Amino acid sequence: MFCISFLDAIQNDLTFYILNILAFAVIILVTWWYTRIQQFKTIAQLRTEIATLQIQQNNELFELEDIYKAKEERMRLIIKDLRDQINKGDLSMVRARRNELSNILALDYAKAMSNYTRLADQFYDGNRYRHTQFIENHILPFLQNAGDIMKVLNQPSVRDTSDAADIKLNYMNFDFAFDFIKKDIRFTSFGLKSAMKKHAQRLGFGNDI
Amino acid sequence: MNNPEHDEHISDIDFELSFMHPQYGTTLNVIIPGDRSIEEMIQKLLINRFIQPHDPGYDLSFNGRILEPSLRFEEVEDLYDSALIGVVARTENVEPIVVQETKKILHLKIQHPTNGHFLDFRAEEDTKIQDILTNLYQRGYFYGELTAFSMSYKDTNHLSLEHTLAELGIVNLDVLRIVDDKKNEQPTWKDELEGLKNQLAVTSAQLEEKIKDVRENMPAPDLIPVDEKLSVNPTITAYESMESILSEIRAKDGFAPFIKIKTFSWIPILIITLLIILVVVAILVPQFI
Repeated sequence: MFCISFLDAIQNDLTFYILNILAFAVIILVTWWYTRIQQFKTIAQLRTEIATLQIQQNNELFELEDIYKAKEERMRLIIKDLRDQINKGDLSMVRARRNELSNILALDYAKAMSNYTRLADQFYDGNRYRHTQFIENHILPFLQNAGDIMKVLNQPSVRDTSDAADIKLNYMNFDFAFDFIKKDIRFTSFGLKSAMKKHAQRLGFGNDI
Repeated sequence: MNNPEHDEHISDIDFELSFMHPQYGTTLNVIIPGDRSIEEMIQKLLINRFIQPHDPGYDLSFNGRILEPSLRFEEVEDLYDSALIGVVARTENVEPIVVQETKKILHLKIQHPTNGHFLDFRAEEDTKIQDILTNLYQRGYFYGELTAFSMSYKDTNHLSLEHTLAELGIVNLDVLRIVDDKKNEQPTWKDELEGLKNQLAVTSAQLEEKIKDVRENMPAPDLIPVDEKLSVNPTITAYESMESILSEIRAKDGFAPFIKIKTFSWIPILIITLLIILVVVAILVPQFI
């Protein structure tokens, strides 16, 4: 009977076993290295795609910002002319400018801001810092301007030129702004909540938000 | 009158004159060539029976003076078209008036420097060569730089410009040639270079002058008008923000300017203060108890 122990068997074919183990290790290493390289390539490709998409979105965002700024400038010029007409005392022109302002505010100006905000919402999704920055730099000034313009359009000397009632806005034309703000609100965002409510009240949306 | 620039025979000048009859005062209008003499004209008047033959003969008078018979009409001083020439009958036994020539006039032929044509030229014998050249140049007989031309006579080239015809021994019917000195010289490359340098210096000086003029006449910087193609929305009023304009409109009805709504809230500060107070109380109270 040729009964040898396991260890003896290994000792007899030690070289064979060592070579096999080494070959196995090399194969593992090579496979791992190859996979890693492929991973890096894929990651680089995806990063390039992301950067391209970001640049594209950036350009779109800038375009919408330009359009919004242009509308804002147009509003400013109309308001300037309203002031000049009030100084001249031309009531028919004051009435015309009042009507024009209310239409442009609700349809043009708010629409441009809405488009801009919608894209910014997608762009800054997940980026809380940029989100908050957008609210501070664009949404709140927009609501401030809208509220100021409404106050002026409904003040006695301007309103009474047309013998009409106060101009009132539709919440649906401005809901994008409040929805954007609400996304950023946390339990501790006392200041932002307070500002949002004040703006809503100025625009006549106290119960809508 | 013919244009002397295009005539080879310079004396080819016509005059339209009126001759007045000595007795009747009638006038005869005639166009006569300038080279006709007084004597010849008197003969013509006799041939045409304007005047009757008269033994002592006739004289012609102009501007109160009797004209010398040998004088040609083109030599008459101050003669002009439509001048009135009087025919004066001489009285008997009166010698004809002979005006002594104080200066001898030479009839010369002058050759053109390029085309070789000859020009009949009359000059007094004390006329300088320089004056003859200047006269012909001014009349356009030849072109170019006057100082580049000289005159030659027989075998003598470059006659002295300051000498007169008499001093040079030039007599009646002699031939003089106008010579272009520059044509015979071939300019060297040095001369050409020198010429170019001079031209460059002149052009540079002119450019400097122009630049100086432009700088002096340039308006002050604040007077330069705004280029509408470059400037963006040029306006004459200062920029006014929406906020300022709205506040101005509000002020008309006595309202205060708009207050900007801020995102500041006292609540977090109050909560934190409350928490601090609670913590302090929680730490200190057990010690006192």
